[in-house]
Amino acid sequence: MIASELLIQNPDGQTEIFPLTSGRVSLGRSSANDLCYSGDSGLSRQHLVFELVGTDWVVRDLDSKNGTQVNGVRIKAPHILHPGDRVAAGHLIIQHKTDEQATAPQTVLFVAETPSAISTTLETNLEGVLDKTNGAPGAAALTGAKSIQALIRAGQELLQYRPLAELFPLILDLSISAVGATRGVVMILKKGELVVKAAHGNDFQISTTVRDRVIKEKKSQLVQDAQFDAELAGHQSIVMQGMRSIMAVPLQTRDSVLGLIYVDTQDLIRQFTQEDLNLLTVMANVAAIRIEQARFAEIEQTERIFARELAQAAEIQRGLLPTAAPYVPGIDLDGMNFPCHTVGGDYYDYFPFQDGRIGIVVADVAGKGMPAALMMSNMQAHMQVYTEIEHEPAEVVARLNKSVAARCPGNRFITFFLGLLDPVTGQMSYCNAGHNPPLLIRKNGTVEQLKGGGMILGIFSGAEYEDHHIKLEEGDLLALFSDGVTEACQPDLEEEFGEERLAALLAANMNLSSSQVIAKVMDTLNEWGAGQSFADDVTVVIVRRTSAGQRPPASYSPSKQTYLV
Amino acid sequence: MSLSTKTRQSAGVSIIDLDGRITLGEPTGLLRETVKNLIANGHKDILLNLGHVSYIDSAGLGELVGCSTTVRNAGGRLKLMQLQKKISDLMQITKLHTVFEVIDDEAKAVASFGTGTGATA
Repeated sequence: MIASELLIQNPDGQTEIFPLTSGRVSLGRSSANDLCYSGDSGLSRQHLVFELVGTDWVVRDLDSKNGTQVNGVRIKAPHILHPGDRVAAGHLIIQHKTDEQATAPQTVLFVAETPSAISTTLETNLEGVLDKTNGAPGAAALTGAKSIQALIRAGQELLQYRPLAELFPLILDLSISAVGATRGVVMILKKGELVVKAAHGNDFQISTTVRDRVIKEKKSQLVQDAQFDAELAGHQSIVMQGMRSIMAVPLQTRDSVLGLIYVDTQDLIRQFTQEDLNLLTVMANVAAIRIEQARFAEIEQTERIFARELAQAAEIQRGLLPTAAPYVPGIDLDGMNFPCHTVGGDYYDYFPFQDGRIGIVVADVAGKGMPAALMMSNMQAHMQVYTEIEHEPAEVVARLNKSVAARCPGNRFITFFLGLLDPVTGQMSYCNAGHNPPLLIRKNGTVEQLKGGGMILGIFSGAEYEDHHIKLEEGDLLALFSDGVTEACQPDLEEEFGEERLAALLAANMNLSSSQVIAKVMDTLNEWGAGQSFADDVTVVIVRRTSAGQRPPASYSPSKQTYLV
Repeated sequence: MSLSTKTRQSAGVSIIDLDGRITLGEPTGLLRETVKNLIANGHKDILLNLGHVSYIDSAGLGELVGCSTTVRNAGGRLKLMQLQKKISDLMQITKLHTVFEVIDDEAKAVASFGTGTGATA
């Protein structure tokens, strides 16, 4: 709901502001009303009510004695309030304002004015003015020194870079001074409604006929007629206040009408001329093109901000992944992650455990991009805490599952593998929550899958997990990976890289270091995808047992940057 | 590449025949909407025919779980039938086969809901 408020003007001329915080506000003499004016004899006890119906505010008269008027007409049925509507009840004048209007409090009232007998209207459009200026038959349109000066000034002022918000008052100033108007207003169409963007003067009354000609027919209007007073319109009498000269022109680009410029003059001597109308028409065209440019610039700016934020998010996410593998005697360890979008849902980590074992993690959040990255960083934070509290993989995984299940949306989950490797004995305990089973390539080239596992994280908070055990012998290679590796597709063919090809590739490169193996895997995947970008996040961790290791000293900082010696 | 669905009724059970790949984006959205519409129209016993589904990515798998929860919360049941080998393996790895009842034969699957009256089926 857009924040909105009522501006209530009492007979003393003071205006009260009443913020609309509930969906119903009643007004009358009785103290039972939200708005009580016990001293206003023109009001009934229960006079009227403002109600929110869908997204619209509606005013409804509660069968009051003197009735409720909107823009001078007594309402018989609930009335949807539009910007600028004036509600009169008793001696009160009430206006409804939304946030949007709050920045430009000047009011424009559109009135269904019946053309008076003494009104004269001149009409033109942009094409007409430009034709004449280009020397077509007819009166030369913009040859006067005043017009040329005004256009040069407008060109100079509008050329400079200005944000949208500054552009509207400038356009208004240029328009007013070009034609010597007393007052003016610039209005822009927003969702079909004209919204005031800049105004000089207030209480504008613009005829709906003029508005529709300008907006719908792209016709510039110059009207000279009897002025009529909205305050008195309620009494169904039009009071002559002398002649008034007004102009309204479309803010039009080649394709569309963005809004209008309206100016008027109270000066009885200085009335607008055909040349003024032509000048304002051309200026409005220049202004509209400039407004459109500024709008594009703002959209680009928003996109730049978004791109910068995304780049920063990616940097933060890279910071959550290990920068370098810990040095562990007897173990050659390396990993890499390649998100298919700027940020991703894959995760890997290795970190020392309190008892000297190395924790190795690979995880994959369902989905991609920012949503997956957010879940991943939350999971990572919890995991770090649990690995400091718990001692075995299944305990960590069970706790992690509970915290993920409590917060994760129904259609998301995380696959998660945690292994704890003893570098001295090569024994590894592991727990797998629905992640692709890692591949163990024995020294002699035989391939084993790390079998066993439980439910993916985030589905059942009470899911149970158990530890499994395996021993890495000297010369063995363990590969942990996300499905982005095995499901990498050849373009068009849709043939997946698959586990068998991965196993064969690993077995053929047992003599390489872990980082070289990873480079080999990435190169092969790139070739497989014929250089096309990956469709999913790709993560690989390689663990090689090179020789019987030594247990690292018991005291070290458990940071993933630490080199274990 | 993408997914198409056809819905039919059999003995009080709504069968959604899925064809294609259940992946992030339009396919997961289509699956969600199809199930939601059935529930909104009072069809709470739903059988997903995955016989022609060649691939489900993690988001698709998540959507299946989400649909299952939606149906259960509405007081209905969601079952799967005719899983291809790859999908079946995926269910095994993720242990989601413990969440979903999976039945291969359509007649048995429909009968397992116990909603049919026999005579009118």
